[in-house]
Amino acid sequence: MPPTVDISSSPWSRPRRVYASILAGLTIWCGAILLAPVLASSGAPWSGVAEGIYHFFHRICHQLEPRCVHIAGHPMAVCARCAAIYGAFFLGTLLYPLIRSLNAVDLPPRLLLLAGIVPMTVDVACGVLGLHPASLMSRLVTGSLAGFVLPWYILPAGIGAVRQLAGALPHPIFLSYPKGPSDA
Amino acid sequence: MPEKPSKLMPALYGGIVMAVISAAPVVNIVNCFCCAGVMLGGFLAVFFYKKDLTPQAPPLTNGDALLLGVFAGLFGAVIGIILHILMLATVGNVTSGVMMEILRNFEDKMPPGTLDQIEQSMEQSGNLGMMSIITTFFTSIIIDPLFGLLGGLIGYAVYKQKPGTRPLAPPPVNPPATGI
Repeated sequence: MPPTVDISSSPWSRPRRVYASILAGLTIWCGAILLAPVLASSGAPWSGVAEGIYHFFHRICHQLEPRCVHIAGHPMAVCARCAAIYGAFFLGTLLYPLIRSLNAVDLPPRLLLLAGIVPMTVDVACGVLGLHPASLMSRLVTGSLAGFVLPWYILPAGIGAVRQLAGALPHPIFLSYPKGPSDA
Repeated sequence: MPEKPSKLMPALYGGIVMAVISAAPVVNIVNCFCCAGVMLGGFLAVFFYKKDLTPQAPPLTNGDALLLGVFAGLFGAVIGIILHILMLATVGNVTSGVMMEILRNFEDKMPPGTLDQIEQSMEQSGNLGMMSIITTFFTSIIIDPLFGLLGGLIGYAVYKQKPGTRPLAPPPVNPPATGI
């Protein structure tokens, strides 16, 4: 009988690889947001790189300067609310494997998702309708709440999705796991 | 067991919603809130797919939601750039005008010259030049599938079937006893 490998306990099991990929992508994303104002203050040629970063994030954020946190005299690549969302998302992703198994596929109650998103929606709506002007603190707090809640849904769903889709595909030879000593 | 329905049409519907929100003047301001309009397209793709599922079909899975979100994002990026060009060519850069009106309320809180810089940047975003269009397209083709994927996974979290709620299979029908 051919020896079997417990893939889930392998240091580079599929859930861990997916998690590592997501964490790496988040690090680059949040790093670019923080790096843009530092590069902008460094002068040429780095200010050109900063301009490219600002242009990229312009697609997803209004970047209104009065609503951005400033570093080194320049605004971050996204507004305070967006920065809070991405920062809290990164923190939630870092904490996730310490609290839940990466193999877990069940999702938290939907009420928790609502509890995270509704305050931010209310804060935005009140500001747009002129009922109550949103302050920097309200943007940071409600953005952080929404950002922190999201990984607890997106990570198990995303890892489960990749496992399901990868399981339906034939394994390329370069993704095969190394043989153990009993395979010699 | 019946096969799952095609994902093409739900993803296309989600992509169209995404593209219309992204291209429509003033409405596209909603994308300033972390691409909420783009995520809505991914979410709606899952919603439309769930409507096509019959009780006998396999349930919605996270893989389905991921693919729906990504495909909706790809459709949204392509259709969005076409609508963006059409909008700029016909009505012009309406959104920038509205944003500038909002920003003028904060002019006294900004360093001098900032408002002119922002106005210049917004004029560039409304540019119909080839480089501007290509840059916008490549930015969209990266961001829209990514945020569409997130919207799809959020849709899965909302529409995921609760365990134990699937319709039970009908009991087996015993053949009539044949008396001897």
